[in-house]
Amino acid sequence: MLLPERMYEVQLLTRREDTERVIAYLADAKAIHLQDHEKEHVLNTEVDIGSPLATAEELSDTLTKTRTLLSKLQPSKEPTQDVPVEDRIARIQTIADKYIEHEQHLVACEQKMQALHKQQELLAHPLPSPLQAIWTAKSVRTILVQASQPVEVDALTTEQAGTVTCYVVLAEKEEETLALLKAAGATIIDLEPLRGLTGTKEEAQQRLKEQLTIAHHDRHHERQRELTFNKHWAFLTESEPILAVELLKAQAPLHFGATKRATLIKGFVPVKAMGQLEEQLAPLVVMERKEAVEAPTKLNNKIKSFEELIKLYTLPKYNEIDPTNVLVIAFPIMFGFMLGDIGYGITLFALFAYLGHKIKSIKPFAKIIMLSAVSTIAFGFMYGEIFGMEELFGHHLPYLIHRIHELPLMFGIAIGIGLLHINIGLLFGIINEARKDGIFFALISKGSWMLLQAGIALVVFAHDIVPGYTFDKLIAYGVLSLAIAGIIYAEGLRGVFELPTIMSHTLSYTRLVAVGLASVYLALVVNQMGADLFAKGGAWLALGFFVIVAGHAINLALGLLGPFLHSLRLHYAEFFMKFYEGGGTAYVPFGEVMYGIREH
Amino acid sequence: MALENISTGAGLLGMAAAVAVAGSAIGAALAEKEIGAAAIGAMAEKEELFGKGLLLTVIPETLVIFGLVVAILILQLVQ
Repeated sequence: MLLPERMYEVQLLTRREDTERVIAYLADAKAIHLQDHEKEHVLNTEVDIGSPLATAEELSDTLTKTRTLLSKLQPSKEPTQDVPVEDRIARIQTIADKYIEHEQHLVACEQKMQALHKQQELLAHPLPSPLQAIWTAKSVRTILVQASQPVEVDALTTEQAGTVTCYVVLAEKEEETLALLKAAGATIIDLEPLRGLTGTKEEAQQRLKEQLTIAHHDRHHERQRELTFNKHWAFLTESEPILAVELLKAQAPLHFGATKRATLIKGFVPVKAMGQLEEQLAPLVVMERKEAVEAPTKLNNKIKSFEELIKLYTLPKYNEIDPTNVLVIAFPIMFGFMLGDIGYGITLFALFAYLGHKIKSIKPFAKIIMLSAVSTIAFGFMYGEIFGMEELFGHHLPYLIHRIHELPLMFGIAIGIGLLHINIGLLFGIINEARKDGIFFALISKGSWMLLQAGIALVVFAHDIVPGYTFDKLIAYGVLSLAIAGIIYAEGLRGVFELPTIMSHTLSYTRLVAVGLASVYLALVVNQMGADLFAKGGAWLALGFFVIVAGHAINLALGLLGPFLHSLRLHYAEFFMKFYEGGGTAYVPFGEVMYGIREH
Repeated sequence: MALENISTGAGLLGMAAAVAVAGSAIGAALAEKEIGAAAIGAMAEKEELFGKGLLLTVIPETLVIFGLVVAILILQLVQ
């Protein structure tokens, strides 16, 4: 339970012609975490890296097209039917071809319309008539310019409308005129888009209007056609993961070793899954297995949602203790200890039960909060608090500890929780170290920190600081010295500088009280403000109601964020530092398509 | 409690509590400012660093908690 799931390191040897069948079995079993093969020589035979199956290229192309289509289409709920992979590929390719054709049409329509609009725009300016004269007249040139002030030019005709002027000049004077116009700061308007237009301006405009109507119609038609593609959405959505797995299978040989006749597959299989896999593959492969020394990490806990908090930090290594189970118990207790309010607990529980149901992606997070909310309710009963109130309808709520009035006791409990938490961490540290460097070193390196705590306590007693307790000074200082010597032995001089952390880490747990108090006082202030407004009566009642609702909503939001982060921090900073190394690689069974992390 | 009922000693204790919280909060804020910026920078490069980034960012927060605890202990003297 404490360690990640145990694994076998396996090697499978199969005949080349059976490789595809073995891959299919492995993908269905979803049990093996493949290990990449590296080129090597075995018994004078070169074992090279395998090459992908023949279908890989087509699959990869189809998968890309599927994803592109899915990003463009709108969801629809057409029924889908089960079809073989080959048919899926053919169908998707047809859909993609049609879609590409549609997109090209649409682009052509847009370009056509743009050109027509440009012509329309130019036709609004003064131009010679008929229009073809611009290009056909050999001896004269038409120049259209935009200028803020009219420019004096030696032209045959000059026609002006607004800031745009049309000059008709002799062909030999064209260059000279252009230079003059440019020097005067005028902008020459390109007449090229008008090439091909004939007749008078009015006739051309009429024709353009008709062409635009047709283009509009064409574009509308293409856009309507786009909607018809949406009916494939469900089919594509269903195909995407299927193709992704097929592609994974087709590319699997890239992880394998291959000779002319055989394929070598290496990987890690959980001990639990080994029996079934062996049975299935027995006719096809020669299998060799041994207990793994180093392997990918697969967390193995009853309550999965808390594993997310571990992953958020870093996965434990294969041989390291998985602290999830401590988190499952300690996290909600710390959360509840801080927030501790029946009203807030019930609200949080209801809110996250609803949110977790509605939004799938936050489900693990919602579960953590719901468990913490239960603990909040329990601590709420212990403190006798509901929405910051100690009285309800004139009755004082029963309580075990009154946290505002019994602060020293609360601090004592918080430090007690801290000591327990830290020492569990040190205990894990002893186990981790013992697995790595032997029990002797483990006891010295982590046990000394436990001894240090005892030493400090004994010294306190020896100086009669706590009334009623006393202890022999010599023994007390002896224990303390022994502990410090042990720490220096294990950690070197650095250990000396680390010594005060045992105090700061323990005292850090007083935040359990402090964060809680902040929340209580805020609730009290909100209630007081509300009560004052209620006392005024009349229209103030509405404002009072608003203050109460908004105030508690803000306090609840803070009460969610604060206790959550602080509980997490106490685990990450104080608890994990005692034993946790992390940095394990995640176990990703072959055949499972992981989104976000694609390790294969 | 009317203002004239507060003794000078109690007032000074109140000030002491305020200094404890304010000083530690400013200290933690300065530290967290730098660490937070660096942590976000690291996370932008590598998203998996969220856990470590959060951890490093909240380390100085203990300062405020100590300040608050000291303030509460001081205020206990007033009563």
